Amino acid sequence: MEIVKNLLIPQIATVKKIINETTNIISLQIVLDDNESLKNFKFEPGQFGQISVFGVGESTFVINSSPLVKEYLQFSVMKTGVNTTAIHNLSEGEKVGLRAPLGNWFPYKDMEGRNILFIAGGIGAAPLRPLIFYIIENKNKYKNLTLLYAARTPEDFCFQYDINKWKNSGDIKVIQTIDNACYGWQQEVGLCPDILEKLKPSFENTVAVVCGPPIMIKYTIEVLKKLKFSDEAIYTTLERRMKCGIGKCGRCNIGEKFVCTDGPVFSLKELNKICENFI
Amino acid sequence: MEKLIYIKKESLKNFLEKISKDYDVYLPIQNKKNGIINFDSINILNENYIMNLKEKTRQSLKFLFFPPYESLFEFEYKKDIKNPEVTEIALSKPGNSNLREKVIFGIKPCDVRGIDYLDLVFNSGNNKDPYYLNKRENTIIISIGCSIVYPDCFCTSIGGSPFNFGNANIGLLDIGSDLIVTKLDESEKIKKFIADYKDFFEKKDMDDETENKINEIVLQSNKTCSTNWKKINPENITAKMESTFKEDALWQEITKKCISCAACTYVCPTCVCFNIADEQKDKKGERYRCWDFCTNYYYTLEASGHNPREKIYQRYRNKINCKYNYFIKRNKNLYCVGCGRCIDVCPVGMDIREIVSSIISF
Repeated sequence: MEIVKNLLIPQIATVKKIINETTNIISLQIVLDDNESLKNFKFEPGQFGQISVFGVGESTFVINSSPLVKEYLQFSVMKTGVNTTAIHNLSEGEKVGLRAPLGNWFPYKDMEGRNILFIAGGIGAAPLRPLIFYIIENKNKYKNLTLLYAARTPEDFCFQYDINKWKNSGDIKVIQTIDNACYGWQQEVGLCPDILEKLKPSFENTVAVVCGPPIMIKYTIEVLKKLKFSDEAIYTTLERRMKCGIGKCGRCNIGEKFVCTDGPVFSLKELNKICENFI
Repeated sequence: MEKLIYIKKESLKNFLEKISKDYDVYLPIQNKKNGIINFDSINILNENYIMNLKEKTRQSLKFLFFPPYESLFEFEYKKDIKNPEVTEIALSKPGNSNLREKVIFGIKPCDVRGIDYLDLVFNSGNNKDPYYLNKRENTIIISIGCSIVYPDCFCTSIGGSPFNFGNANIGLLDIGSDLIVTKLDESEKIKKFIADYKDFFEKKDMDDETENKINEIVLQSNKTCSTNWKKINPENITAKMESTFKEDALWQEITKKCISCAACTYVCPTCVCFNIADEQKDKKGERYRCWDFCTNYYYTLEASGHNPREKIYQRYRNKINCKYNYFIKRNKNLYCVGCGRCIDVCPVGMDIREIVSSIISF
C-alpha cells in the first residue's frame, strides 16, 4: 500500500511570545514542539499556515516572520470571528496546531534587478513583511525599494517597530498615510490610491506588490494601471475562506484557481485570465 | 466462435452470498417501505430490504469512499504532572477501521465515471487524500449497463454511454435470463477473482439469439438516452461559460427558481466539497470533515462579513462553472456524469440541461 502523507493533521506548536500590534491585532511567535521538524522547517515569503485552537477550529494566516529567522514563526491575527477570538485568548506557553507552509510565494527571483514598490493597507502589511526582510537582506540584487503603507489611524499600523528600523537604516523608503488628519501626524494624509497617484512612482523597471483589504487592492490597481504599470508587474496576495489548504475542499476557488494551491500570490496578468472577479 | 462468459440470474443470489464471505459486498438495495434505492451492505438484505439492479439509486455511491461525516483525528488536552503549568495536547489518528476488500456490485456506468472523477480529486497530484485512499483501495467494481434509461439520464450527451464501463473491473449486460460479461479487465486481481468464483462464470458459444438481444438492448438504451439532451462538446462549452460569465442578468434569470437548498449537490456523484470543524467535550474532542455545498450562503462567508458569492445566482453560477468549465480546465474532463439525479431531486424543478442549454444558446 502506498504511504500517503496526511496533510490534514497539524503539528503541535507552542506560543512563545504575543505582541500587541493594534487594538485588535496581535502577533504570535510560535515554535514547533518537534525539534526535528523545527530544524527542517523552511518556507518562502508569501506562504501561509493553518493555525488550530483544538476544539474551536482552524484558520488561515500568512507566515509573516522573516524567512531568515529560524527560531520562531510569526503570524498576525485580527480579532474577527470565533477562531481569531480563541487565538486572542491564548497565553504565552499554550499549545496550538500548525499546518505549514502552504501555498505559493512571491517570485522574488524574477524581481531581481528591479525597483520594488510595496503597497500595504492595514493588516495587509503582514504578507509583505517576510518579502521585505528577504529583499533587504539581498538588497544588492534589487534596485530601489519603497513601501507605501496606509492605515486608518496612526494606531492602526502593524509592525511599527520594523518601520522605525527601516526608516533609520535607509534600506527602504517608507511612506505612511492615514485616512484623516490627526493631531501630531506629520506624514501623508489620504487614502492609499490617492496618495499613490500623488507620489507618481515610475513604472519603469518597477514591480508593484499590493496587499490590503479588497476595496483598497481594487482602487490601488486602478491607479497603478493609470501609472502605466503592466499586468505582469503587479502582484497581489489574496484570501478566501479556506478549510483544507491543499486544494481538496473546494472552498477557496476563484474561477478555476484555488487560492490555497494556485495562490495566494497572483500577478494581475494571471487574475485577469480568470472569469470570476477576484475582489 | 467467440466465447460468452455469463452469470445465470438464478445463481446470482448464491454468487453474491459466496463473495460476501471473502469481501464486503455493497449493492443497490431497495427499502420496500418507501421504495428508495441506495447502495448498502449485502448484510442488510431481508424481506423489507431487497436487491434492485434495474433502477437508479437515489444517492450516488460517493459516500462509500467519502462519507458525509468523517473523523480526521482526535485530540486530548492533558496536564503534565511534573509541570502542571503546561497543558499538552495529544493527537490520535483514527485507525484503518476496515481493511477487508470491497466488491461494489451493480453500479451504473455513470457512477463508475463518478468514481474516476473522485480519483482525480483525491488520488492525484502531490496532495493525495489518505482518508479517501484507505477506503478506495482494494475495491472491485462490477458494473451493470443500463437496460432501462430514465427521462433524466443524459450520459450520452457528455461523452458517456449506458454501456461504457470505463474503469469498472467487470462490466455486465442484463439480457433477462443472464448477466453477460462484456468487459473484463486484465489485472491479476480480476483474473484471480474470476478463478476463485469460476463456478458462477459460465461459458458458452455466442449464438444469434443472444447477439441480437445484446445489440437490441444497447441500441435501444443509447437511442433513448441520446434523445434526452443534445451532445455537449467540452471545448466549446468552456468557451461559452467564459463568455457568458459576466452576463449577470442571464444568470439571474435562469437561476431564479433556485432556493439554495443544496439537494442537487448532496446526490451528485462528483460534488465533493467539504467543511472541517472541531467538536469537544471536556478534555477530549475530534476534528472532522463533512460534506459541504457551494450553493450554500455560508460556504464562502468570511468572518469579516464579506461574502464573495453573496447571491444565489453567483453560487449557482459557480456550481455550473465548476462542472462545465473549471474542472475541464484543471482535469480535461466535464465534471458531470449525466446521471440526472440533481434533476430528479430538485424541489423546484431546476434542470441542469435547461440551464446549460440556455447558456449555449445565449
